[in-house]
Amino acid sequence: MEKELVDIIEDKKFIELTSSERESLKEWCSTEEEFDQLKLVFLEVEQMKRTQVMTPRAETKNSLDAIFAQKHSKIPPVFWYNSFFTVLYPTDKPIQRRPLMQIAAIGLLFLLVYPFVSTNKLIETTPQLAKVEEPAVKEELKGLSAEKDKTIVDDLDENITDLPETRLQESTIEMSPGVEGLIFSCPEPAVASATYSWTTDSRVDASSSLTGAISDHPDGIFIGSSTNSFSQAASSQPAVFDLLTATF
Amino acid sequence: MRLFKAQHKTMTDESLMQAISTGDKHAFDELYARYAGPLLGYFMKMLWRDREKSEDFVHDLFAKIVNKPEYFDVTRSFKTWVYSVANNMCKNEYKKAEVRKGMSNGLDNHFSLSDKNSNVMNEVQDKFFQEAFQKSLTILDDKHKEVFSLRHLEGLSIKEIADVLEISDGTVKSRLFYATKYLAESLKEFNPVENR
Repeated sequence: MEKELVDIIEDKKFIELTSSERESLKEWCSTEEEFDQLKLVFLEVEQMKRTQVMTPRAETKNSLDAIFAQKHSKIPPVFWYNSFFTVLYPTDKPIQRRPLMQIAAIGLLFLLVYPFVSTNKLIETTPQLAKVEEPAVKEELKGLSAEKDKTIVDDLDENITDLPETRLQESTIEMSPGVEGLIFSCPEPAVASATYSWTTDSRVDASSSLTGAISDHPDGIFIGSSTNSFSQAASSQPAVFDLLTATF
Repeated sequence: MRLFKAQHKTMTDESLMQAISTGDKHAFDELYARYAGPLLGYFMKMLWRDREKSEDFVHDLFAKIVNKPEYFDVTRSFKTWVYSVANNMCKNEYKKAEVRKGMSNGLDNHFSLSDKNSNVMNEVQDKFFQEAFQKSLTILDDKHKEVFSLRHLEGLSIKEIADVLEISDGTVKSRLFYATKYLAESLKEFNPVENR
C-alpha cells in the first residue's frame, strides 16, 4: 500500500473521503467497516513504532566490542593527526568538497594569476632595470665628451682667428691628456705665438718651431702656408714626444 | 574529539562499513547505534517475540559484520543488505524449528504461545488491543509477516523489500495486501463500528 493511502486512512474518517480517495481505496476497503479495520491496524502500527523502541542488552554490545578488539588488535590506535587528516580530506565527500583540495585549488589559482597582476607593477617601479636604456646613457656620455672636445676646438679656433686683430697675443690653452686629434689650422696667414701648456706641466714654446717664422710684412703679417708645424723633431723634445705618443 | 564524533554521525552506512573494515571502532559504534534497535525489533517480530533468541541473532549479525565486512557489497544499500541477511537468518531458524518440531513429541512452543495469545484476544477488549495486534502479527504466515514488518515497521520501500527478499515488486504488493487484510480481519472484534 502506498504511503499516501496509509496517511489518508490514518487521518480521515470514511465519510470525509472524496470520490477520488474512495476510488483509490476501493481495492483495500469498500465499506466503512473495512475502512475502520484498516485504520485500527495502521494506528496500532504507528503506536508500536513510537513506543516499542527496543534496545539490545549491554552484554551484547560488550561481547561485540571484545570481538572487534580481537579482530583489529594489531591496528595501531587512531592518533590525533589521523582525525585531523580526516577533517581535511574526508573520503566520503566529493573531491571538490574536500578542504585540502579546495586549499590546493586556491593556491594554484593564486600562482597562475599572480604573474599577470604583478608584471605592470614591476615595470613602473623599476624603470632603471630596463636594458634598452643603457645604450642611450652611453650615447649621452659620448655626446657630452664630444661636445666638450668640440668646445675646446672652437675656443682654440676662436683664439686663432682673433690673432690678426690682437697681434701676437699670447693664449694659453689648457688641454687634458685625453684630447685626441688636435689639428692646428688657420684660414688666414698669421703669426702665432702661443704657449701650450698641459696638465703634465710640460711646456713647449711653439713660436720657435714655426716654419718661416720671420715675416716681410711691416706689421708682421705672415703670408704663406697656413699649416703650422714644428721645426724641431719631436724626439728631441721628450715632453712633446710623450704628448704625441700619448694622444695617438 | 567533537569533530571526530560529528564526522561519524554524518557518514553514510556504506562509508561506515568501509571504515569498519579498516578497524575504525567509532564507525562500528555508530553503525551499531543505528541498526541494533531496529534489528532487534525485527527479530522479535519474526522469531515469535523470543527476546533471548532475538538478542543472539543481533549479536551474530554484528559479529558477522565485524569478522567479514568484505561480504558487504559497497555498490548495494547497506540497509537492504543487512535486512536481507537478517531475513535469511530467520529463514534458517524456521527450518531448524521445523526439524525440531518433527523430532519433538508433538508440542510446539511457538503455537502454544499463539494459543495463549488467542485466549488473551478472547478475554480482553480495547485495552489489550495492542497485545492482540502483536500476537496476530506473530501468528501471521512468515512470508506475509516479513513483508508487513519490513514495510510498516522498518520503513523499507517496496523496491527495497523486493531486493531484501529477492522477489518481484508485484509479489511484495500482493503479500502486503494479504497481510494487511488478514490483520484487519483478525482484529475485527476491536472495531468500534461493529461493536456499536
